[in-house]
This record gives sequence, C-alpha cells and structure tokens, in this order.
Amino acid sequence: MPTIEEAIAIFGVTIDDHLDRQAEIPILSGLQFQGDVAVVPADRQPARTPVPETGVPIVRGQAEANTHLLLATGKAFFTPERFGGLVLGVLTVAADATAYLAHPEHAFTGIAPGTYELRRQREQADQARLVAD
Amino acid sequence: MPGRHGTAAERQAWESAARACYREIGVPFPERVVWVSSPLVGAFAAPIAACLSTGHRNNRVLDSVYRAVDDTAGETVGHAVRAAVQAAADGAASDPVHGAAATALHAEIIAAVGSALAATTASAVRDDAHVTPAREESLGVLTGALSMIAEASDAAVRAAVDAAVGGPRQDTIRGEVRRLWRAHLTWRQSDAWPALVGGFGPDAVPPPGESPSRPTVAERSPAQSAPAGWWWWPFLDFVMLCPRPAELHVEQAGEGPWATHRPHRADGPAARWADGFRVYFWHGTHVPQAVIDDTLTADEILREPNAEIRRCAIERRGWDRFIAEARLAQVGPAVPDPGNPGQTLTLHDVPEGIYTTHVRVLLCTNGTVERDGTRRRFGLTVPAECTDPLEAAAWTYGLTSVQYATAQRRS
Repeated sequence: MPTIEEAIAIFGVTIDDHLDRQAEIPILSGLQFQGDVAVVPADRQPARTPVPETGVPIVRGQAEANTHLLLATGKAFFTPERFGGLVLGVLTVAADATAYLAHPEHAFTGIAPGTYELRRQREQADQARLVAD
Repeated sequence: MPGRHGTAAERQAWESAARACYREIGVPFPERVVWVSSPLVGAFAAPIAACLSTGHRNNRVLDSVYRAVDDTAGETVGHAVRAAVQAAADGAASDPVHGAAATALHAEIIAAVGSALAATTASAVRDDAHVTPAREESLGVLTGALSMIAEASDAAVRAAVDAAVGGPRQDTIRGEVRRLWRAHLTWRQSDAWPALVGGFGPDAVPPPGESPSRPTVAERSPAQSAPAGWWWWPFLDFVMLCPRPAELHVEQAGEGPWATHRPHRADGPAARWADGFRVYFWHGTHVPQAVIDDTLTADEILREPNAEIRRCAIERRGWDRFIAEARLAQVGPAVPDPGNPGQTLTLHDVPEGIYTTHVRVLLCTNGTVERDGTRRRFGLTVPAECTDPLEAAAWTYGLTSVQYATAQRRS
C-alpha cells in the first residue's frame, strides 16, 4: 500500500497540505466512496479505452478545482457512459495494476483489479440533481 | 473572476458602440456623455435629468425627489445622482427645442439593433469554426452570468426606484420620473445591447428574407470588441453609460462543452459596482443579502415565501445547523455510516412546502478531515419515501441498502 506522499510523487498531483502525507492508501476491490463519487464493483463488459498517463477527469469540480481524477499504475481502462447521469462510466483495472481516484480534498482512493461502475451522488431537489462537493 | 473596472479604453469602446447605435437610427450623438457609477445611480439620474431638460425646475419638488433617493438608496448614491443629473441636464433648459430633450431613444435604438442582430447572428454562426476558446468562454460568461446579474440588478433597482418615486403620490417631477422610468429605462429594453456586443443573442433569429449583407451596427462599429456592459440610458440631449461591475464572482456550472458560468459567492456580493451597489447570488439564484450573510432565523427561513430563496438560505446555513435550529423531526434511529468508521447517518423529516417537492434530508459526515481538524457535516435531500438513513444514503448513489452496507471506505 503506497502512502499519500508516494502517490503524489508518482502522479505529480497535489492535494490539500493539511492531509497526512504518511497515511497509507488502501487498495480495495469492494464498494468505496470518494466524496460524491462511488466505486461500485459491477458485473459489466470490461472497459477498453486505456486511462492515459495524464488521467481522466471523472467529475470536474467548480471552476476546474476539486476534480476527481482517475489515474493508474499499470493497465487500466475507462469507458464513459454515453449519456451521463448517475453512472459516470465503467472502469476496468487489469491484473497487477492499480487505479486511483485523486482529489485535492479527499486525497487518494486505491482501486484493485476488477471491473467497476463509477457513479455520482444525487440529491432530490425539484428533480433529482447531481451533487457537487 | 477578476473584476474589471471601467478603464479609459473600456469606456472608449463602450462610447463608440453607443455612437454606432445613434448613427443607426440617424440621431446625432449627444454632447453630454455621463458615466454613472452603478445601475442604481443611472436609474434615478436619467429620468430626473430628462425631466429637468424639459424645463421642470421646481426646486421644492426636486428637493423632495432627491430626499426620496437619499432615503431609499442612501446619501452616497444620492450625491452621485445629483452629480450625474447636473452633468446631464446642465444647460439643457436654455435649449430652444428643450421639449424634445426628454425623449428616450431606447425603443428606436432597440428596433434598429434588433435588425442588426439578425445579421450579426448569421455571421457569428458562419464564424463558429474560428471561435477561440478564450472568446468562447467570454461569450459564455456574457450570455449567462452577466444577464443573470442584469436581471437581478434590474429587480434591485426597480424596488429602489419604486420605493422612492412609486406609490400614489403625484407631483410633476416625481410623476414624470416614474413615468419615464417605467416607460423606457429598465434594462430589459436594452438587453439587445449585450447581445450585440457579444455578437449573438438567444432571440436573434434572422427574419425571413432579411439580407445578411446589409451593413449593420455591428459591422460598422467596434461594438463587437466592446467590453461587456448592459446598462445605458440614451436620450436626445444626453446619454448615460454605466460600466460593468467592479467585482464579479462566478462559478462554473456543468462540465465540458455544456459548462456555463453563473454568479455565486458565499461570503459577499456576487457583483459589486464601484459605488457599492451590489447584488447577491447563491449558485446562480438571486437572493437577499441576509441569505448570504446568514442572518435569518430558522423561523424566518421557514416563512420565506419564495421556495428558491428558502432552499438557498438553508443550503447557505448548512442542513446540520438548520435541522437543529428548526427542530426537524428525526426519522428512525441513527445508524453507523458503512465505510466511514465512527460516523453516523441520520434522516430527518422536512415539513412539506419548504421545497416544492416533499423531501427528507439525510445528514452525513465527510470521510476526510477539514483543514481545522473537524469533519464537515452536510445534508442531502432525498425522496420522502425513504424510511431509514441507510436506504436514503443508498438512494443517493442509486444503490440498494444491502449494497450500500458493504461499503469498505469513504474518503
């Protein structure tokens, strides 16, 4: 399990400086959440589009800040859902690879090999609307 | 977004665009060009100056109008109004054709600009491929956030002017100010202006048979490169212009090609003009200052008649505080938040009528500590059908309660 400090060094992304740099990032294959994004294990057709070295912005925050950025060491693939909505897309992490979600306020979420749906949180307003954190 | 003051170059561009509009309708550009510090100052000053230009010089009545301005808008605005009136109306009384001086030109100019816009739109569509990202972004801000600010300013200005010169009281100047203001001086009648400056407008569909090659205001003037601004008061004898806000705060809404900008600021006015006139926005909704300053009581929020403002006031305060202050009843017991050790989820009833749909609110705690070492508590509205906190939390991600309960981590 890498530490936050190591992940910052690998990906060159910055996170809020009050967060503990020595904390380890659990690499999990079960359901987990990063703020308004959920990583949901899913029985779906694996994604085929490689996650580029620069990452994939999964949810862009307000004014380009607080983006949930999907990154990987090793082979990972992400296919965005075509029409948006609650499911953002399908993520497939190859064996021996690890995917990460990076976010300035939430640091890193480690994702083990497998296929997942990345989902976004919603609220019940006048109609259900998506949450921005 | 950094504020842009009315610099000399910006004012020059604005004035050139205004000149082009006068040319379009064949009226000589007036000698007196008066810059006012805010829409509020212009909204008072323009009709008063127009009245004085027609020879209404009853000082007693004029004083009462000025006092009304002081009372509703404050003495700082009152002084600025007096100065602008002076600059616009001085000398006009000796004009032998002063009877025409009060003629506001909005209607004529808007008609002319309207037809000009049709052609501009056609050319904007043709040039689509050449729109640079920077230009695209500035257009987005122009057509979105700025028109929202304009609408909000209009409401604020309208309230202030109505309070000062509205009501049953009638005297020559007061009545004329009100008449002029209502007839000609709201921003709505000049909303073709930013559309023209921005190069296109939502309503600018070319009329059938309109030749796009006809020379237009936009083509003949620097209007297209003029900075964004949308308040002006064109008269025969004078024209009043107002720079864009000195400070403007927007946020991005949406993503990618659908991203727009909307006014928003949580700790002050979203737009502020140089003289202090300001409007407040919560994520794109125009709200009273008390909502942003967070000074309402829970009871006042509950009694607020406008559902949008009510919702904004609650969100600004934070559901955790509002639930406690308004004593919203808890639904079912608190449950541990799966994947978020040590934290609980609670569900609360929200009285019907607070939102336009009946909702409950789920109170959760962030998975990550804040800068000050605390964890942020926040409420999420969920359908009123949710009967326990787990079901409500699962709903927010489209999961079942059983799925949600398997959560391993929340950061």
